[in-house]
Amino acid sequence: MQTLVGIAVSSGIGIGQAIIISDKSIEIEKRHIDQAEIEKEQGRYISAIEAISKNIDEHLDQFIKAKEEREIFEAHKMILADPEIQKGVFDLIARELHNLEYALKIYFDKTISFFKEMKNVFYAERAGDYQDIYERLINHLQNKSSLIIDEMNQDSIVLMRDCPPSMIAELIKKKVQGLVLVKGNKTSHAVILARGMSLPVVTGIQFNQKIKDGDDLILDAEQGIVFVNPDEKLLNKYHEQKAKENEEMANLKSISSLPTVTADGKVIQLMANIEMPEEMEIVNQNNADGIGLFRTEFLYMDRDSLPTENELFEFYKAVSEQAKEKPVIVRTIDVGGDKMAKWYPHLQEINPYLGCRGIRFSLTYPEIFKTQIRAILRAAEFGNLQIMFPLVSSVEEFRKAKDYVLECAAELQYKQEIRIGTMIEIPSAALIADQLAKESDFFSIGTNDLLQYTVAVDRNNETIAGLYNSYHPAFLKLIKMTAEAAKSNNIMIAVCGELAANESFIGLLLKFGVQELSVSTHSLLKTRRFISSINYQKLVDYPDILTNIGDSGKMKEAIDKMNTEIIEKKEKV
Amino acid sequence: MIKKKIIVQNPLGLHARPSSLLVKLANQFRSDFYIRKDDMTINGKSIMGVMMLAAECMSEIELIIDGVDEEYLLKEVEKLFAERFGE
Repeated sequence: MQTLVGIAVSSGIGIGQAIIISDKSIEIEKRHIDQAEIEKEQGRYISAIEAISKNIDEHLDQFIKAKEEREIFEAHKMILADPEIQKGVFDLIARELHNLEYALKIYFDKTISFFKEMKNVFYAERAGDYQDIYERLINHLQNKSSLIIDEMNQDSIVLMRDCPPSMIAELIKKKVQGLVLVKGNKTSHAVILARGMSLPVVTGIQFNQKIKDGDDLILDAEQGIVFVNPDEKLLNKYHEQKAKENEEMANLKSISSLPTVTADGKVIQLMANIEMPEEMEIVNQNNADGIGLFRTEFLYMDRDSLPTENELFEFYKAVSEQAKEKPVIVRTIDVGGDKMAKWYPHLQEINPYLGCRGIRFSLTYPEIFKTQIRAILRAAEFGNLQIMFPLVSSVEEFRKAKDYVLECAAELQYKQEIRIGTMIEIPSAALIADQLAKESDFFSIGTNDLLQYTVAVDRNNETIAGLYNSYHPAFLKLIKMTAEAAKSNNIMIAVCGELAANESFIGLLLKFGVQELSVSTHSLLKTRRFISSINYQKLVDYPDILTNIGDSGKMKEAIDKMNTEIIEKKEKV
Repeated sequence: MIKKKIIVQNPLGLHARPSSLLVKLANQFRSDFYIRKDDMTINGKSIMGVMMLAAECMSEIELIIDGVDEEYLLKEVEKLFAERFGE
């Protein structure tokens, strides 16, 4: 037995056999063909380039890409249609009697090295285009990935270097046990989707030469461990754990179409936090009441150019349409300046957490902000979009940002009302919540940042991580103040940070008057089940517990005690 | 058949964008179209061929056009070069 340790990025347990999807290590078969096969091999080339060109066209139509990206695809299409390449490949087939794959290898190897050796870098870089085309052709001809997908079943654990997002849906369809990746982290596109669909994923596993096809594996995506060819004892242990997990899943599934109500019938708005349109399917399946936090950083990360208004518009429209009449709260760009440094090098900051991030970034670069606002307003015609500004620290900032929204609305002749809210995640904002509430249509508390800024602790700093304590009375007081300010000004109050899905705090948040809890897609059902065990009336009648407690330990005791009294022990739903 | 020498005048030479404009244009005509530079002759209807020439600014190339619409093709190609591919 061998144990490989990586990082758990989507929790769960998988038990099954390894299926390795290798990439780039394209193995080309060399085969001598008969005279009679020449025409057939040449015909395969024609159908391959036609299929790939069509594919590129569809891709171009579907996603309105940045001009630069478009030009790359156009260039690829021209290469596919190149008469000289066709002639060269056809000659290798007809004269040397090579099979198509091998003919392509010889032809493209020669072409790629010709470009690579050019003195002018400008031309040498073109080698990449030919490498891409070559790989596309071979992948198409070998139809490799789709063949392997056919082999997968509910006992498979899939291993690959990097997973394209489109693959996740295929894996779910095949009901595979889990996914092991070399690359990727919690925030990569495919991993976010996998988490939403409860597919266990562990990344950072170098499995080459350690795992081979058909090996028995246990994937522990709670701890981030892969066991290769485990012994009976370990297998039994994990089978047991897996059985429990399955039971839990089935149990949760049974409440997926129910509304979210407390044991005594009080309706709570249960919303989802999402990052991309593909997550809407799971949101709708689990009957969420809307999107409480639509993070919009995704299109700004890992690319060389800023997204265009149209690109953003299509992205927001896709979510807006799928949410139908349900509200979708779009949070405007919330990247730290450090992440935008690619475009704005002077934003390299010594202390990015206290730097040009959130709404400050948007107000510093109004052209980027306005592009986003225009896209949101245009997409708002297709559903119920609302706008929320992150990291607001003062009334002035909120006003300035709102003015930009009004300016864009006037330019677009946008007539409908658009609701604009404030994200409360800086103590200064919580302390003036009564004033912000007069100008905002709603509040949403970002508990992660609010706690970090209240106790001045970076929770990734291991030495002091213990001080990042959600039971700190100061932090809870700020939440209470915010909720009360919202209530007295009659505006909606939501919580969209991690606290919203934390069963120790849900009761307290509702007691404060929070009306909406917005949680990650994989926490929706658990949160609904927990809410259904709360007696809301008992909660409201319970005495205030924030007064007279100064330390976090005592606070925890008081909250735990309250929870035992307001939660109804009842049969499982 | 027509042969005509011409100097590449746009600043970056026949890089990706001008090459693709030239190839797109040539493919609208029936005549064969070859380009010679030094001792290399390539098919002017092939994007790969034109890129392989690596014709930089101020380099001399020879257009070799042969076919029923050779005069028209030459005229259009000359125009494209004269306009420096719109750069």
